[in-house]
Amino acid sequence: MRNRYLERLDKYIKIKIVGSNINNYLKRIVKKRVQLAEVIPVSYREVHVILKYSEYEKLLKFKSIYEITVLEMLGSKKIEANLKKNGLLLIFLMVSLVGIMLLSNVVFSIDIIHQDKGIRELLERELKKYGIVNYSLKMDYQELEDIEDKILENNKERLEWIEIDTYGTKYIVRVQERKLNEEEEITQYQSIVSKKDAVIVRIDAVRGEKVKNVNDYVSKGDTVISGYITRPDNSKVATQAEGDVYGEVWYQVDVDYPIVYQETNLTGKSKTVYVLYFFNHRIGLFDFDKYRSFEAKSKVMISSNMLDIKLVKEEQYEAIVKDEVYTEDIARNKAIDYIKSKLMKDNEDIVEIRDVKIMDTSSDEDSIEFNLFVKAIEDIGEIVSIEEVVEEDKESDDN
Amino acid sequence: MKLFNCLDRYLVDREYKVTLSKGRAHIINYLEIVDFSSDRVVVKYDGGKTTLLGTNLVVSKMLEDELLITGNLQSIEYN
Repeated sequence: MRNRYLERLDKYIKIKIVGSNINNYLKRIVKKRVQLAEVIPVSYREVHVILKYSEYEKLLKFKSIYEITVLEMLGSKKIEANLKKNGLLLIFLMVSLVGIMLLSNVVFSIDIIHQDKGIRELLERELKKYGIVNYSLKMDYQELEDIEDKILENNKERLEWIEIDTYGTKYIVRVQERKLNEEEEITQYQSIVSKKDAVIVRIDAVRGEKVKNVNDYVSKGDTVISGYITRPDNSKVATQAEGDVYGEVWYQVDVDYPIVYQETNLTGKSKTVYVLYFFNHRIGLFDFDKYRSFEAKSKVMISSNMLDIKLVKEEQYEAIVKDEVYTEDIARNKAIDYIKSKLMKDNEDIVEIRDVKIMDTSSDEDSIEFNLFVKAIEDIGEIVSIEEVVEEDKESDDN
Repeated sequence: MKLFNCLDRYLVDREYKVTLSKGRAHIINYLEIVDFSSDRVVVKYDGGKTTLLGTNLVVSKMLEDELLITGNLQSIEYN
């Protein structure tokens, strides 16, 4: 039984036969029992014939004067011809497709993002256990999720969270370390009190109960952070209060600032000069490069009581003398700067001088006296010990 | 064997047939083409010969057991 559908896949060829008497040639073809699938007459000199390739080979043996040209291949012969023509291209295409598929499914690098080297090494070992190494095949999303769960399960005490992301041919592993808070041992029960009269500007309570608020006025000794914590059932428990308390402290200071100011600074240069004092005259011997101003240590070499003559050896130290005369404004500003730096230097608790106001001024020939009101921000917290609260029995309470 | 023969007869058509339609004659299970020209085609089969007469006759298809004659068919004779 012929299968007309499979026949289409047979090797067929379409040819053109050209000659003076085509009918004779066709008769010859018929006599030779060459099978023809289709005969398409074009003109009295030309005919197109579709036939099997094996029959075409038979035809070629008796083509004689007739011109036979192949027009096209059909069926599997056509596929064969195309493959031959584009074979190399197809091979390269296949190889490159396979190469791309392979390369895009291979992991070339794994980045573990964490600053701790120990955690990174731990993860490297864990990932290797589950086959995630460089140059391994990529895993799908579900597989990675399962591996993440297993790693977390095996390292509960060290790892809080892990995520493996795929970026092209790279895995990026992000991890969060589990940090357990160590419970601190309480060594001393204490409260934080104010060591000065002040207005509270800031309370940083780490432990304990705040009993004062910002902008509250506190006197010296007032509790600011209490070591006694009130429980929901109104019972109290003692703890070690911790924290910082900052308050605005007021100072009233008097500063006497000179109007005329002289400052002498030594330059470091020195020289020895012999000086002759002759009847109240001072003559420096061989002192050609005189210092403008200097301080001197003298030693009398020769002196005469009868004649007012003496020879003195002077050790001269060059000095620069600064003479200034201040106006009231300049003196005031200088006094304010002076008091700010002095207060901060003398009192380590002061963090900032917020404001300085001049309350009163009085002056004489040499100096001006200022009465200043200073607002300073200071650490006013002071630790005081407290007793541990002992819980009374309920029965005794009832009694 | 009988069953096989029945099956064989059912599946494989070995009978000589000539199917005529407009402008074409389809012949199966022929033996050979005795003669053909543009106005006459003589086909030999198991039981004799068939002559197709007409004008512009062309053997469009000629396979081992199948023949297609196209053209202006005027008559068909069995001998």
